[in-house]
This record gives sequence, structure tokens and C-alpha cells, in this order.
Amino acid sequence: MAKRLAAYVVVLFAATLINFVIPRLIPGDPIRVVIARLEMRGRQGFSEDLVLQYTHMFGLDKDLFTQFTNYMTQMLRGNLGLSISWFPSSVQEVIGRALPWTLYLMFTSVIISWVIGNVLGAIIGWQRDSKLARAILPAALVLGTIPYYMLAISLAFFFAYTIPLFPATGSSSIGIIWHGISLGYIADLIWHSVLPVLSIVISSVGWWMMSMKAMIANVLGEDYIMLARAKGMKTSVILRKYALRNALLPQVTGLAMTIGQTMSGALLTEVVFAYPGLGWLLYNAITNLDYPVIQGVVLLIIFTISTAVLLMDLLYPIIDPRIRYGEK
Amino acid sequence: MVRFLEALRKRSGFANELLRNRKILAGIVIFLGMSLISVAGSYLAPYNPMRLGTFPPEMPPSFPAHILGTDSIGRDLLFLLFISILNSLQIGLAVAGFGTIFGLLVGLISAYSGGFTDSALSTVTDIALVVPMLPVLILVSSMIRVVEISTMILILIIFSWAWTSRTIRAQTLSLKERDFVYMAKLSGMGRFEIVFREITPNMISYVGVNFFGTCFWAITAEAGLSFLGLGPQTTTTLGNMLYWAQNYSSIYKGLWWAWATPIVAISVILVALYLVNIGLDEVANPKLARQRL
Amino acid sequence: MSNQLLDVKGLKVYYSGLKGLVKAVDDVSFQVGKKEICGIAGESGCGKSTLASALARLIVPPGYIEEGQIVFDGTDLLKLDEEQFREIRWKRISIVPQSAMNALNPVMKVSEQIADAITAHENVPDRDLNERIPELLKSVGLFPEVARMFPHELSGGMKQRAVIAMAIALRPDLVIADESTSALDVTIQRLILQTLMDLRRRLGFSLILIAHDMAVQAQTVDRLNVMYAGKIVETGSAIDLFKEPLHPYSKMLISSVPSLKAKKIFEAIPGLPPNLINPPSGCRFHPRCPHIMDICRIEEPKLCEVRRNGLVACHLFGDGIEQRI
Repeated sequence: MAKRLAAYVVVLFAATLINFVIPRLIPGDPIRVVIARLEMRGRQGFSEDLVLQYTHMFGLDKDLFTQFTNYMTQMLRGNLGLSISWFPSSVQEVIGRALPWTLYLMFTSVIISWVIGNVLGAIIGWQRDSKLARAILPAALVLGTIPYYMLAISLAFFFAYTIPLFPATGSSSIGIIWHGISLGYIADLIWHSVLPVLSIVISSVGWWMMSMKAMIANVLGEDYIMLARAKGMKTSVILRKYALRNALLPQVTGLAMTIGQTMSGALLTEVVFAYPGLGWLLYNAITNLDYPVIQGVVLLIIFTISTAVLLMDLLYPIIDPRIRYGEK
Repeated sequence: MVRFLEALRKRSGFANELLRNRKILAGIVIFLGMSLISVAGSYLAPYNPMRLGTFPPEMPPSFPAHILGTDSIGRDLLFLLFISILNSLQIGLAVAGFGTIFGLLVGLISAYSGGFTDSALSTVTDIALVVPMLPVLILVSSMIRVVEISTMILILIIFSWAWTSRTIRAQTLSLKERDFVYMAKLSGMGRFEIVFREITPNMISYVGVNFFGTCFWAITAEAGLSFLGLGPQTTTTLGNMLYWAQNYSSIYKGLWWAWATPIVAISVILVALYLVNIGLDEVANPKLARQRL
Repeated sequence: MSNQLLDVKGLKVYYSGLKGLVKAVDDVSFQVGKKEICGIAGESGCGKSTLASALARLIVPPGYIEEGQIVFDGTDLLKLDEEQFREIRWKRISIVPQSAMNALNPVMKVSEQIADAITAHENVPDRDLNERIPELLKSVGLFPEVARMFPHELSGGMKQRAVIAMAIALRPDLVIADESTSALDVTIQRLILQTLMDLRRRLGFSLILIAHDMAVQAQTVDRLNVMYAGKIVETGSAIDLFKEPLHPYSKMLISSVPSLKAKKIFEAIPGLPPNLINPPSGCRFHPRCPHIMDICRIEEPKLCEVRRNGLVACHLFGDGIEQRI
């Protein structure tokens, strides 16, 4: 337990360090470089004074160690610096606006695909040779390997352009003024999220289904299932109490393991739909060379995922009675 | 070395078994097919496919002039596709190769040395595993001024070895305790001899799975990075093709060939790799195969 | 015979394997009487476990029942559909499986698993279950606290007892114990057997005891069937068989039991276990038989009644006449 917490802290520290070090590896004065690039793209108004100001603001006139300590203290206070492309907003403001959308997207897609995938996987795994399996499995295989954003593009084409069923971009329709939470507003939000969520769900379902099928197939070979049948228990009860409970455990840990992957995919999907989450933010920041934002988002992602994994590590012993009560 | 090959050849039935598995066969055939087509196609180009404005832009597919149409900046998509596939495959294989070798070494050393070396290497591996790759890759990529294919490969290698190292280490640890290794030790074999003669042939299937898995990951990661605009700028890859498609709004201009082409190409490659992987898994664990009866 | 509980006739259970058809149980017939302890002995791979699974209708593909009848209390079990057979499962026929280690669901408490067995057939309110289950556990020599435990918290012997408690929960007529003690060490083995015997005396069920350990068979059974290569080669009362085994294989098996009193030379049975896909021609035991005759290679011996209630399938004893060499 302590080892895990220690590892967690080490990871975060390493991440912060990397975050800090990498930009400073670029030769040359970063401020001038960025300004030069921005000027190339037509943004004007940068004077020598401004350069000095920025250098001081970003603490680049101090030595490396002080810089790092400053960085750490600022970061722990939640101050991630100022955004270049959305100046004068701070990085944390910008991230704060984008974060909820990404969380919503991820949460919804993961839950939907996990549940559906596991149910389908259980059904297919239980029947030894089902027609359902033969029909779905190849499709699941193909769809599972395609990255989310590619599915997103296809879906966008078919359902936002060819047959304009869903909106192509954004999380809410333009022109809607915030009157407070109303049913209409929520409906609009959901409508806008259908395609992005669908992209992730279609791809992930395949993966959950195949892993659940494998799990169930494994469990079915176990002796306690045979005994359950011998006891004359109803098949549905056996499936529920004996097979599923054992097969679901690894699926739950699987959630934690794949959360990094899912998040990466979700970010790219946002780009396709200009869905204003962290992915879209990152994309724009990259285009604008907004390093503070890039660093901030990367840091946040690393933090979120590490925390999720840690939580899962802590939760797992609670749900698995073998670990909870220890091996005697 | 000779003895290593001997040990491998003793399992000559193994090679046959590998090819007999339908999945592996299908996967490899598809993969090789794609490679050959792309190599051939790239060399057959009568002009530089990357040059902008060679053709009228945004033309839909027509036979025989532009089988896959042209993109928004006047390039023929078919030849663009050939080169993209070639580049993406190159990146995938290179990363897979180096990553697997590196991972194999780290895993073996870690498992066989034990003690401090093991702890240190394992911690590093774990960190590399837990840290989500895409954000860090994005970070690194965005910092680098000019990205070439070789740069891409180097960047991806950073993360590619972690998973392999972990699996290999786990497998080596379990094999290390097995009876046949004890026999070897008793008969006086040196440490390295044991590793090469006894342990490694047993791990071939794992190495194989890791190789193709890493290749899968590398191609996906490259596509993702390129899609965001962080890909090799001097040439085209499948991810780059998607980047351009997205940037020039091919979706909403109805230019389905611009985005469908790279997607189909990547899907085919990825499915092929995945098939090889599960096929290898089946061969390595015959129990799974038997359940299908 | 009204005293007969189980009558197995001509049972054939095959597996379609990668390399061919495995004839695990090939034309087996035997009877079990009411309140009788019937043993089935033989080396590993002779088909005893398959037989046990078949009796409990637990054969799954790639295994299948090719032909035969399992007449239980007048009804052919193989003719019932799954729903009808479910009535019989556990209520009338239960099993104590081979590996109690794995036969218990690792994520459920012991009491829940026993409760499942009961509620699958009877509508019992929780209150009654809370009384019945501790009673059951006590009857197998376990503390009632075991009910609240998870399988991994129990020792091997305790797990075995728990499984036995489950098996008798509905007071079945027939209990099939498939190598129930093989995974335990000798002292525990004896205790478990004792428990099983006590229960049998109290509850009056018939017991089919499947074990390759002849010592275990010797201590417990009334009748013994010896299996080899999917067939029954000898059957008879335990007393007859252990005093004077007739079939050469039975002789070897029985002589392999160590005895504290008599000084014996251990005789291992020479040769390799038979191939069940391509069994030897004629008598399946002929490659390893010290009394082999020419006819043994050609013709398969049938079970003949050689002594009262004793059958042997061997050319040494044909037509009820002993032919000594």
C-alpha cells in the first residue's frame, strides 16, 4: 500500500520534472522564439519591454533551481501560468473551462461501452457456439482496432454531413444564451454529444466484449461452475452469481488500465468534432504554440490518470474477497 | 549461437504450426500485401507525389486518371497513399524492432539479475507504463522544431519498450523457476548459456506477440500524433493524410475520398496486426484453441 | 429388483478430440443397490471420472454420451430433458467432486453456496437456512463459523468437508464421491472418509466411491468395480475381491496396497497406460498381462459370473469355469 502511494508520488514528481525540463531544453530564449513565431503568423505588438516583462514573469531570469522551486510552488497552488493564445486568461482558467466537457465525454462513453460490452461478452461467452457470436465478433474485432477518431470522422461524415442528423461541431448550438439549466439546454447538450460518444462507444464495446468473452470462457472451465450445474441451479443464477462475479473482477481492473488509452482516444475525437474539451484545447494550443497551456493540459492528464489508477489499486482489494480477507 | 538455432530448429514443427493458424496466415498475408503494394506503388510514381498543385484539387475518384481522387492541395491520392503506407509501416516496424529488442533486454536483465537492478529497472518500467503516453508524446513532439520520420521513430521508441519489458520479465521469472532450468543449472551451465539455450526459445511466442503489439501501438500512436499536426513535416504518413483531410474540412465538403482512404488503409493494417497477435496467442496457449471445438 | 437404486447398462461416453475419438467409457454396466457403498477403482485415465460425470449428466462437449442407459429408481436418466433432470440433481443424486480446492466459488461465502444448493430446489426462508446450514456444517465436523468464511480461508480438509456438507444438504439417495480424498494427506484422508461413512450410516444414502487408492477402497466399500481402459474388468463384493482378486489387473492393483503386517515385495504394474483412441485389440489389458494367451490378443473377454455376485472379464475365466494355467 505504502509502496503504491510512494510510486504515485514518484510518478507525479517525474511528470512535473519532465514538464519543466523539456521546454527548457530548447536552445535559445524561449520567449523570443515564441514571439518570433507568433510574429510570423501576423500577431504584432511585441516590444523589447514586453520581452523583459515576460522573462521576469516566467522567472526565466533566475537560475534553474529557483525556477523549478517556483514552478513547483506555483503548481501546487494551482497556478499554471498564463496562456499565450488566450492571453490574459490563465492556464488554469482555460483548462477549467474545457475539463468538464472531456469528463462528461469520457464518463458517458466508458460507462455505456463497459456495460454493453460486458453484457454482450457474457452472453456470447456463455453459449459455446452462438450465431450471435459469429455475427458480431468479426465486426467487433475490426471496430475495436480502429482508433476512435477515425470512427468519429466516418460518423461525422455519414450522420452530420450526408444525413444531417447530428451537429458536426461543438457541445452546444451557437447562439444559445445561458438561461440556466433547462430541459431544452440539456437536450441540446446531449444531442451534440451523441456522435462523439458514439465514436468512442462503438470502438470500445468491441474490446470489452472480447475480453469479457475470454473471461467467461475461462471461468466456465472452472470446477465451481460444474458443481453449480450439478447442484441443479438455474442457468441464469449460475451465470449471475458464479460466472459473472468472477469474470467481472478483472474487467473492473481493466477499466483502470485502459483509462489512459481511452482518454488519449477521447482527446483526438474531440478534435474531429471541435468538442470543447481538453483535446480541442490541446489541439489549438499546439497550433498556436501555447506552451504553458500544452504543459498544463499534459500535467493535468498525467495527474488524472495516475490518480484513477491509484484509486483503482486501492479499491480492488475491497471488491475481491480473496484479497480483502487475505490468504491464511 | 549455433546451439540457439539448434534449439529453435528442434521446434521446426513450431513454424509449421504458426503458419497453419488461419489468423496468423491471414494477418501476415494482408500485412505483406500492403507492404509490397506500397513499396511498388511508391517507386512507380512518375512524378513527385508530394508536390503541391500537380493536379486540379478536390477531384473525386475517376478511372483511370485518379483512382482515388485528389486532395485539397492538388495531389493525387493514390500515390500519396502508397507513400503514406510505406512511411507508416516503416515507422511501425522500426519502433517495434527497437522497442522489442530493448524491452527484451531490459526484461531479461531485470528478471535474471534480481535485487537492486531489478527493482530499479522495474520502477522505471512502471513509470513508463503508468504515465499516459499520448500527452507526453504530444509534449515532446511539440517542442521539436522539425519532425522527420527518424525523429518520429525516436520519440516513439521512448515508450515502446515498457510493455515488452514487463511481459518478458514476468515470463522469465516464471520460467526461471521451472524444472528444466534447474536441470540446466545442475548440469553446470553458465548463466548466459541458460538464458540463450533454455529460456529464450520458450519466449519466442511472447516476443512475437510483443513485436506485433508494439507495431500496432506505434502505427496508432504515429497516426494520432500526425493527426494533431505533430507528424513528420517533410513527407506524408497515414496520420498526416488525416490531418490534411481534417484541416481542409474534407468531411464537410463531401470529399469522402480524402479521409476514407487513410482510414481504410490504417484499419486494414491494424486488423492484420491484431489478427497475427491473437493467432500467436492461440498458438502459444493451445488451451484457448481447444476450447473452440 | 426393488433393492436396486442404480442400473447402468452399456454406457458409452466418448470425446471427440484433436487426434481422434477418445473412448473414455466404453460399454460399462454395473448396479448400485440401496444404501450400498459401491467402489470404482482403476488407475488414472481409466475412465472413472468420466463415468462419474456421466452419471451426474455433467458431460460437456467435446464429450458426449454415445449410447447406454442410466436407470435410476426405475427411470432412465438419459431420456429426461434438462428441466426434468434438474429435479433430480442434488435432491436425489449429488456429487462430491474431485477438487474441492476449485469446486468452491472463490468470491462467495460458504453459507451462500450451500444456500444456493438448497434454494435451487426448495423454497426455504432465510430464517430456516440460518438454522439448517450451521447444522449441516456441524454434521461434517466443521464449526458453524465456517459458514461466514470464504473458501480461501479454509484448509484443504475443511474445504472438502464443506463440499460434503453441500452434497448431503438435500438428503439425496445417491452420492457420487469422485476422488474426494486424493488431494489430501493421509491423516486428513482418513478423517474425511470417516465423516463420509458416518453420514452415510445416519442418512442412509448409497455411495459411489471413485478412487484409485486401493487402501481407501479397502476400508470403505461393500462392492468394488475395477475399471481398465474404459471398461469394467472385474466386479464383486469387497471381501471376495480383496481376499482373492481374479482378474490379473485387479490382482496387481490390490497387491500394490502396502501392508504393515505382511512383508511384501512391491510390484508395480509394468507397461504404459492404454491409448484410449486406439485401444489394444482383444483384451485391452493384454500388453501388460503376465498371463497372456493367444486368444487375449484377438477376442475381447466378456464379463462372466464366476462366483456369486462376482463378474470377471478375462479369458482365464471363461464360461464360469476357472481355467488355471
